Amino acid sequence: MWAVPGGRVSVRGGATEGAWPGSGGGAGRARMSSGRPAAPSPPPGGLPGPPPPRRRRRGPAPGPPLPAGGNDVFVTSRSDFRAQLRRCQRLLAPGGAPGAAPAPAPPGELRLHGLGLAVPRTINLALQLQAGAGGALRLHASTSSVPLRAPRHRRPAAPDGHESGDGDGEDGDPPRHNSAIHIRLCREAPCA
Amino acid sequence: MENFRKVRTSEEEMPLPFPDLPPDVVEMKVKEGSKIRNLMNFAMAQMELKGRRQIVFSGCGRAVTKTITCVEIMKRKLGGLHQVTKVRYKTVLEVWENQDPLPNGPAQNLTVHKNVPSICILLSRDPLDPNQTGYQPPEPRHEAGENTSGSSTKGLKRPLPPPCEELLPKKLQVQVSDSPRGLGTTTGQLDH
Repeated sequence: MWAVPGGRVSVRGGATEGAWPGSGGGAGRARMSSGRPAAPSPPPGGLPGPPPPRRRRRGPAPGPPLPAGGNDVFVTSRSDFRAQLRRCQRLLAPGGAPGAAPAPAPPGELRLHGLGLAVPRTINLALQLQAGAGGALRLHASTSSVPLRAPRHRRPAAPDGHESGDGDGEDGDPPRHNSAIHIRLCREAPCA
Repeated sequence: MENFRKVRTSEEEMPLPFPDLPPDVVEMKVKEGSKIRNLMNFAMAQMELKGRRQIVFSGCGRAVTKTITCVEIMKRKLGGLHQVTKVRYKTVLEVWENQDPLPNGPAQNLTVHKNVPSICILLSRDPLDPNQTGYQPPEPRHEAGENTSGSSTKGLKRPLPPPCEELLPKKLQVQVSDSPRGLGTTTGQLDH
């Protein structure tokens, strides 16, 4: 935690939290108030005032697009395990999630994704689902590396004043990678 | 319970979940405190010098993420490796002893059985059965080449030394100013 004059910073979890590329969730997103003064009101004469300052927010790195359709569950270590298990069981049940549109993925298939510290929990979820299904589920596990994006305040400033949106380490250190696991659960065997 | 201290931890020995493995296959048992550098030095030496075709990485509990990290590093450095990933539960036995027993009472011991998620990953230079669960084909060659040519030290703080140097006795390097290359070496042996 560090002090920002005129603002409040809340940092959730470690570097792995909220680093899923393309995830639009708010988990792990740190918010920092800019501390800038409020926009001045336009003068009484009706002349247009300066544009209001843009408020910047840090967000997850824009990564590759998520796989289309399917039941994808991104596991974090912050959520309650039993709630995650219930949600996965509901998604695996015939019909999938209530009120959801028919997904292009075959029914009875679920994909779990875990990053960093959430990898053991992801494995635990998959094994618990398999144990609860009485052996009717097949696990297909694969691993990968996910490049992490450095926070904005650590990236070197561009010489022309524009902040580059691509923080892949071209100007400084190579990007850090985090290990990820992807487990596909399906009822039919073998998985396609 | 506050007087109990953990005195011993042991893992249940289980056979590897891969069929048709050679009896002399190298198994890298990754623990929570293992150093990735030491693991990779040994594993790379085994795969390159002794001409081995397969290697297995296994870990449980908090070492699962580190196991995946080692596998990803090896895939990035060698390239063209076929992978099979198996996840399962492993039983860990913990023995807790009462540090403050009653004066005339017997020593109290607690044995705790824990089922922790574990992962076993087989890497092979030879093609494997693509129909088995957990099979992951090697990454396309141009992607592996781009990753290694740009920076083979991604995810590592320092580059890994070549395997041959690690097997030779360490040399004592002394900087000599009058050598044509500006650096001379004198051979000496250090006690490890």
